Formats: sequence, structure tokens, C-alpha cells
Amino acid sequence: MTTWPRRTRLAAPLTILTGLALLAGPPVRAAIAPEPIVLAMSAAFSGPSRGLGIELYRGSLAYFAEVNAQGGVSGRPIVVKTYDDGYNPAPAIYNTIKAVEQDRAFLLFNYVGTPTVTRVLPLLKRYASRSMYLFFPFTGAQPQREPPYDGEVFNLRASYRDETYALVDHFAAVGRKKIAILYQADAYGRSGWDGIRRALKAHQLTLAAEATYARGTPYETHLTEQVEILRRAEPDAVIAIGAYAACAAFVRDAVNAGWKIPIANVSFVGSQNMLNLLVAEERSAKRDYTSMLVNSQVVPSYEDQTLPAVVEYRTLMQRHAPKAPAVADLTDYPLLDLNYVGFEGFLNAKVIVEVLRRMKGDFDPARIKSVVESIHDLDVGINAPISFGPNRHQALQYVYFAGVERGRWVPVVDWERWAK
Amino acid sequence: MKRSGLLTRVLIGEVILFAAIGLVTSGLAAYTLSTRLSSEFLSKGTAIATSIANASDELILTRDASTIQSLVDQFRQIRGVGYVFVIDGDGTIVSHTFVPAVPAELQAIERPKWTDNGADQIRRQDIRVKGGGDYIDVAAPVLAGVAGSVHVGMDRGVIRADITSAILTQLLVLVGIFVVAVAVAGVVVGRISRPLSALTAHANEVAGKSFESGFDADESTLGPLAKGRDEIGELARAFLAMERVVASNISRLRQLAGELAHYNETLEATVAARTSELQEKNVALQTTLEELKQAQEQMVRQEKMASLGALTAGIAHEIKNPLNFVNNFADLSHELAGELREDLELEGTTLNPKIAGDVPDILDQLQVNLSKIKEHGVRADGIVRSMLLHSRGNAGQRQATDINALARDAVNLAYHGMRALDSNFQVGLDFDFDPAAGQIDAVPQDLMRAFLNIANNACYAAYHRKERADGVGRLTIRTRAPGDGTIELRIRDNGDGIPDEVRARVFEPFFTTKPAGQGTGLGLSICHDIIVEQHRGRLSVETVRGSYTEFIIVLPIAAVPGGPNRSKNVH
Repeated sequence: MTTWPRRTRLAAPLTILTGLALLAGPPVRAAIAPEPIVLAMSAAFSGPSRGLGIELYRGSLAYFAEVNAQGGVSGRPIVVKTYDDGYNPAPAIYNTIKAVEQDRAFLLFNYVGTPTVTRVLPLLKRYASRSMYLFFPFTGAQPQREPPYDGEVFNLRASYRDETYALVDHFAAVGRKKIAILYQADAYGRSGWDGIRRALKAHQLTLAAEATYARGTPYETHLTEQVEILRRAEPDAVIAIGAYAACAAFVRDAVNAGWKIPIANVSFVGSQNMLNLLVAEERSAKRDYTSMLVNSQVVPSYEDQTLPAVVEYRTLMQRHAPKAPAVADLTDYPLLDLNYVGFEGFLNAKVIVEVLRRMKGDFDPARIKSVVESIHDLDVGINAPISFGPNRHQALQYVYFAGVERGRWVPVVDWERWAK
Repeated sequence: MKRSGLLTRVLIGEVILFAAIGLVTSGLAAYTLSTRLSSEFLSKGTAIATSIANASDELILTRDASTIQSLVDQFRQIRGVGYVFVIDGDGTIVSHTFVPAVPAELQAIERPKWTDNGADQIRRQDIRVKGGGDYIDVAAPVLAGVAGSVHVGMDRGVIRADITSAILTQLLVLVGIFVVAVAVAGVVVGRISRPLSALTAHANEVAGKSFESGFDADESTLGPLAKGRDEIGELARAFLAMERVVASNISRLRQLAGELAHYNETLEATVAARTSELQEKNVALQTTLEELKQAQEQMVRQEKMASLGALTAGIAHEIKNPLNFVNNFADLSHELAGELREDLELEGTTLNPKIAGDVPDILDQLQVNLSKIKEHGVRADGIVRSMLLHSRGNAGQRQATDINALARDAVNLAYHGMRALDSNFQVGLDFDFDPAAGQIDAVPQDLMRAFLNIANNACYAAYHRKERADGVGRLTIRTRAPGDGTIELRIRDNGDGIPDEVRARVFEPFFTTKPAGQGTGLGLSICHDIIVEQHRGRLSVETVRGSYTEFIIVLPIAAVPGGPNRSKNVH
């Protein structure tokens, strides 16, 4: 971590030069300048969830930079055009329209968030004639995995349902059957809520309690009211479906209230951002805010270096030191080192590059769907084969768990730790 | 400037008017807006609830809850929508917009069997969420209630805020108009009230003025005002006229006041003068009182003297006969002694020579003794006669009187009288009588008294003189006959003289410079009476301080015809 800022600074002028070269390129070398493949990314680059967009982007960029450094795909560089929607539905819609109509995006990539994506989905129907597809949105919600929109979306990561089922199953297995839920008062939270309800139903259980918070709640806000509502039901565990700032605030307030209870978060939370907030809190408050955390992840741990993809991620992150996009609001935001979100972005990039390569130079959007659906048992180095098909736009279903040890996320191997 | 009462009244009127307008229009607006907005919100809520309900039948039944949540969230953004929640066919709230939780009031909301009440019924009810506001809950059934219901809460707070904002805007406009109205009123009233205020201020100034320094009609203030053609101008003119009258009255008053002040001063001076006069009179009265007391004492004394005089006259009369015998028999004895001597000379040889030798000596001695008896007898007779003369109580008769003899007797009597009182008394007597003075026609007893009195005073002054202690007291008595039908008698002493202030009063009755009890103060007064009134003579005094005092008595030789025989009897 300590070496990163310096590398970032050294890398910055290079990147700017590269960017300038790209912008200045076409008029000068019009005849031979390869047209870049534009991937449009509307995500949270500002606001309390900006860490998700920024890190997802940076993870992807590590891989794209490497690909571009080696000549791109079919001689064409990959460019990620970023749009900030601040994790709000309306800007996400405008961004998408702009990307399609104005910026001639080849495909939509790395969108972040359920409320945003669920609102963008109808647009895909509108642009179906242009074969506009959304690849690997950073959300586990159901709408893009179900009709009528599953045809226009390709999902790499496991769904919230997968995550919540896994969490509920594991909690139930260690005797924690009274599950309470804190969720974001929007489609994302509702998606997790729905997943948990279904998972509980499978165990003939019901929700012990539920509380919501408003999207965009910053870390400084106190969620003591929510803590009290849930605590009143005396649950065995709390599953939080939220963003890192609010979830960290909830953990902080629960611990401050003296409530010792396992608190689980799903992958979308942005585990590293959350951990950073709580570690800082631990340092100032001298209390343990992290030992009771258990987060579900949809990618393997970036610490597991037995996986080739992890090694590659680490290597390329170090090599290219990707910076945040220009649209990002970096006020008081230190870029992260390795993290789950970034690793997911890296994997997303790997798969999309594979898709682009399989286009074999013929970048006709109408071919995208068939190309993707032709992918079977693709090994991206995470010890999990990736397959798509005409009826399968959901590649992975694996769920991983991470707990905190010595201020770092580590894979959870033994759930007995959470036994009641 | 003083606040204009007129303006204040107009302002109060405007305030009341505008307050009334504000109240009425605000109330009306509030009522209208409340009704309109409520109905509008209600129809809005109904539309939203219905549209969600219509769109979500399939979603609720088949889709993930996040889909319907996404839908619900969109409607939540619409203004006035406080909350949206969806209940599924089992009665579970599957989507809502509440943070941090669905309020208990809404969790417990009635989940009616829509089919029982007739399909597709929109239900409305007012919901009050504790600590969360007031809502109109609009519930629309999904699939006639089989698939659940959609609840939209229209926030009454927004309605209220809208009404408040509308009314505030209206009030703001009203206040604007009010300000303009006040400004206009201010200008209009100012035009009226400024001269009024000026007049009032001027009147107050005049009222508070001290008129001591005079008063003039304030032409410079009232003049311009009086030019006005309106009622205020008339008022100013009236004012000016009044002030002119007041000014003239005041100047007259001031004049009168000045006169009064002058009279006052004069009065004071007069009073002071009168007072001092009174005081002087008082002193004079005091003096008079004292003099009266002295006079009383004097009269008592003179009464005593009168009785003493009577006694003296009696005694003198009684003594005169034996004294005549003594004188006559002394004469006779002296003649007899002479005859005896002749006889003895004739017959001396016959006698014993021894005896014959002694008898003539004895006879001589006897004759000397008898002469002495005769001499002193005559003297005693003179004294008795004087006493009789002096004390005779009955009216004196004018007769030819030897002025020289009378003066000598008077001075001698005074001298001896003083001697009788004080054995140390010693003054020299110089008589310078003019034989031509002779006889005058007068009352000798009265003149005797006057001369005696003056001689007494002269003796007293000569003896008691202080200024020239080296010399001896001396009286000089002179008579002259100037040949004009009068004789003049001057009695001079070489005493201390009479001070001027005393000299003026020496002839006043009861005036005396002698110690109390030693003089009656009547002496010279009586002298004056006797000489001037009774005998038509003149009495005057010449004196030089420290040198002498001389009383000059001038008497007509013949009785002045028509003069009273005796004007005054002091006894």
C-alpha cells in the first residue's frame, strides 16, 4: 500500500500522454489509426458509493491496459468511456442514452448498482435493434437475470439470491436461525430482502426483523435507530444489503451500542472500502468493529495466490497502476490497493476481452450475443469454468466468504466460528 | 419631528384594513387551496396507486420484489407522495419506501378482502403516523385484491407547505401593497400633517414660552403657512392674527407690569420713609413721654415748692414783727446807749473812777454790738422781705421797681442759696450797675423770680465749669439804660457755655441739662414767660463754648399798654 501512491504519481504523466496520443491520433494517422473499441461504463464515481465504481474501473483497467499494451484486440485498443451516475437511476438512464446515441459505445460494461441497472434495462429493449448489451453489471439483483430483460444482459457474478441463500444456509447450519435484515430502501435492498425471504422460506423460517436506510446515506450518519429496531427482535444474525458507507455506519453503531452479533454483508457492499472505514474507527475508538463481520463474495479472495487470476491481477495492478477515471470525485478518497471489487472488475475485463477476441475482428454488434453464448467452460484462472448459452446469461454461481483478521479480509474456512 | 397623529391614525386604519384583507383573503385562499390541493393530491394518489396496481399484478405474482420496488421508487419521487407500499396477496408488505421501517400504523393497516366489497374499489383514509406526519392513504387493489394492494400516502405536510407558501406569497404581495399604501398615505398625510405639525409645534413652543422677554407674532413661521388656500392656511391666518393680538396685549401688559413694578418700588421707598418717620415719631413720643414724666415730677416738686413758699411766707410774716422789734429796739438801745454816754460824760466824775473809767468802753462796745444787731437785723429783714416777695402767691401788682436793687437782691439770694446748699460754693460777683437804669414799671415779685432763676443758673455754671479749671468762677451783672425807653440787664457767667443743640431749647419748658432731680426744666421757660409774655421784654442768650454764657434781658421802662397785667401764673 505504501508504494502505491508513488507509482501512481509516476504513472500519471504516462497515462495522460497516452490519452493525448489517443485523442490526437485519428486526424494525423487517419488511414492507419485503429478505431478503439468503446465500452461505456456508467457507475458511481461520486457520492458515498463511489468506491465501487472507481475500484471496479481500476481493476478492469489493469487488464485493459495490459491488453492495449500488447496491441489491443484485433489491433484495436479498448477504451472504457466512464459516466458518473452517482448511484442514482435517472443519471444512469441519461448516461446510457448518451453512450449509445452520442458516444457510439460498442457495449455497456461494468454498470454498478441495482436501482440504476433495473432502470436501464428497459432502455436495452429500446436499443435491441442496435444489439446493445449490458455486460457484467456489478449487481446481483434479479431483474436482469429474469425475463423480460435477461436476454439483453450477461451476468458474470453470482446473484444476490445466490449470496443470500448461501449466507442463510450457513447461518442456519450453525444455529443462527433468527435472521434480521438491514437493507437499502431501493431495488437493491429489496432484491436482497427478497433473496433472504426466499432462503428463509426454504428453511421454513421468516424474517426476524427488518429495517431500511436511504440510499446515499454517508458514513457520518447514525443508524442507531435501525440498530434498535433490529435488536428489539433479538436476532441471531444480521444480514445487511447495502453500500459500504451505510453498512459500516450500522456496524459501528451496533458495536457502540454493545450489540455483539454477526453482521453479514453481500458482495456489493465493497468490502475493502467498508473495512477501511471500520479500521479507521477502530484506531480512533480503540474498539473491535470487525471481528463479527462476515461478507459474502462472488469472486475468490484476491489473497488466494494459488489462483492464476489472482497472480495476474496483482501483477497487472502493480504494472499499470490504474488511476481513477477523470469523472471520479476523489476528494478524501484514497485509491485502494487490492480488493474484491477491483478483482471482480479485473475478471469482468478478462471475460469481455475474451468475448472481443472471439469477435475475430468483425465487430458487428449483432454478432455479440452469439459469440458470448458460444463460450463454454472458459477458464479465467479462478478455478471456476465460465459458460454462457442462449438460455444462460449467468456465468457464475459461486459464493465465497470473507472475515476480518488483523485488519484484512481473509477467506472464511470454518463457519463454526459463527456458531451460536 | 414629532410623530404625526394623523399619520398614526391613517396607519392604524391601513393596518386594520390590510389585516382584515389579509385575514379574509388568507382564510379564503387557505380554504380554497386546502380543498383544491387535497382533491388534487387525492386524485394524484389515486392515479399513482391505480397505475402501480395495474402495472404490478404480474410483477407481484411472478417477479423478484426488486422489480416492483424499482417501480415504487419511481413514484416515490413524485411530489406530494409521502410513501408507497405494496402488500401482496398474503398480506405481506413486499415493497415500501420507508426508512428505517414501516410505521406501526401502516403495518397494521386494514387488508380488506376486496372481492367482498366489490372489485377495483379505491379506498381512502387519513393516516397519522406518530412522529412521521399526516397522510391521505390511497389504496388500490391489485387484481381486484387477490394479488394484494398498492398504498400511496399523499403527504398532507406538502399540502400544508403549499398552502403556507401560497399564503405567504399572497401576504408578501399584500405587505408590498401595504408598504406602497403606507408610503402614499405617508406622503398625502405628510402634506396635510406637516403644516399642522408645524402649527402644533409652533403652538407648543408659544405655550411653553416665557413671555417675560416679550412676545412677537412669529411671522417667519406662520407667514408661509398662512399663504395656504386650504383650511390649514385659514388656521394659520387665524393663528397669526391671534398672535398679533396676543403680542400687543403682552406688550401692554409688560408696560403695565413695568409701571406696577415702579409703583411697587416707590411704595417701598414711601413705606420705608414713613416707617422711619414713625420711628422718629416714636422716639419723639418716647422723649415726650419722658419729658412728661419729668414735668409730672416737676409739678409735684413745684407743688411742694408752692406749699413751701406758703410756709415760708407765713414764717417770714411771723418773723418780720419780732425782727421789727429787734431792729427798733436795737436802734432805740443804741440811742439810749448814746444818751447814757452823754449822761455819763456829764456825770462821769461822780462815779467811782474805776467804774467811770470802764463804763465808756463798755458803752462803746454796747453801741458797736447794737449796731451789729441792727445791721444784721436789717439784713434779716431784707431776707425776709425777699422771701415774702418771692413766695407771694397772689397776683403781683405792677409798681415802680428799682431794677438795680432787684437784680442785686436776686443775685445775692441766688448766691446765698447756693452757699446754703454747698459750703464750698465760691464765685466772684461783679456788679456794674448803671444808675440811670432806675425805676421801671413792673411786677417786682415776678421779675425777682426770673432774675433769681437766671442767677441760679449762672452760679451753677460758673461753679461747675470744667473747661477753665485754673480761673475762678465769676458772675458779672450789668445794667444799662440806652435811653430808648428800655433798660438792659446782662447776667454773664464764665462757665462752659451752652452747646448749640442745647441753646436752641433752653427756653423750652421741662428742658434741663442738670442731673435728674436737681432741676425742674421750668426755670428759663418761666423766665421767658415772665419777661417776654408778661413784661413785653426780650430775653436772649449769648454764649461761647468754653468761655461764657450771657443772658440778656431787655425790659421796657414804662408798662407796655395793652399787655396783660399778668398772662400767666406759674404758681
